Amino acid sequence: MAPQTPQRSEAPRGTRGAPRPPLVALAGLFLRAGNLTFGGGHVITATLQREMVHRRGWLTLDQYGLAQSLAKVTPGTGILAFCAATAWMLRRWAGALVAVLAASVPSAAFVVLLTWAFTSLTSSRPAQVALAAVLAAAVGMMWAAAWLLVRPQLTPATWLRTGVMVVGAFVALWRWSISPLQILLVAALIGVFWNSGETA
Amino acid sequence: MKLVLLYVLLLKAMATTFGGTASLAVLREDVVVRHGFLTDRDLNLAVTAGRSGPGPNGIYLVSVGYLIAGVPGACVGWLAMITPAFLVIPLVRLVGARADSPRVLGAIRASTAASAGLLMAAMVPIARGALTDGLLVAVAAASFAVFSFTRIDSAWVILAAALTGGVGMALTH
Repeated sequence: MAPQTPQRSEAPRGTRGAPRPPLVALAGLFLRAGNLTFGGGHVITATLQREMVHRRGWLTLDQYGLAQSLAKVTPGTGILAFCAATAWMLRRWAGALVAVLAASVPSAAFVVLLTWAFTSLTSSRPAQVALAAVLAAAVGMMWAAAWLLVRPQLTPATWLRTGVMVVGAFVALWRWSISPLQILLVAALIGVFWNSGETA
Repeated sequence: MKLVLLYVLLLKAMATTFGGTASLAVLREDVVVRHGFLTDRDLNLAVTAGRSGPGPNGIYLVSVGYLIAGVPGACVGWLAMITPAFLVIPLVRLVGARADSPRVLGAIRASTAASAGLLMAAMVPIARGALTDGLLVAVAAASFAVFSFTRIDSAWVILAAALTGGVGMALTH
């Protein structure tokens, strides 16, 4: 599913006078969107847009768009920042806390179970072979994750900077073992001055 | 004390990168290379566990924490994953429209591209340990293609890889 871009001209249902949603309702929504939705951040934000803007009228499309933009400039996991931002707009800090907890605790518990299962799979030969193949698949996925980070930036205006950053960072870490943190800082500084008037 | 150090290391990886998985290079530098808490294989296993279920991209930190310090470590990993999310709130209050400025966007996009390069470099030693025969290289290539160019969920890719491994073993023995 493609990321949903809010249409600012489309009039959302008015939310200014709407009652604040109860924390239980917020928890239920973020629980469902954060833990039962496979497919990553875009699918989760699309689910939340449908529920919060179009079905329940809790947020306007402009508020949704602002939360989406700011989540992109927040370090860490963008989808959790997006949950915190939208829930803060509705119920301030209590809402943000409830949303982030609801969106992350069940899936975190599930990941612990999976990790335990994977580490327990070392006794039998078929399980070892299957796990080796699964770990190989993870290598492919991480290379794909790198590609998916870069792909949106391969536009006529930004491809050269993107290429220089990718190759430069790769070489700086792999060949010269420069600290990743320093590499990221230098890249950000370069981006401040080497930009093409880009917009969100 | 170890839990505090673990939290600081995981938070450092998470709070200095954008997009969850981009934190892998910073994390590997600390927990594998500098402190030796995990091997590359452990880290790869954590990434796999994170990719096998629902949840945000950074959830592999929970698995990293669990592998290093059991359930308390998993809680620390979860805390490190969610902490940076709350930085968005002062941004909503204060920065607002400046998030659209070309300089801010330029900085974010350039460092995101750099983090992709870092991710690829961090995966080189992990790949050396994981891709030890032709079948495993083929599995990794297929996984890359499916993950890059289709919307098939990663849990299915992992299941298919496990089945491929099992069938490959049955055919060669």
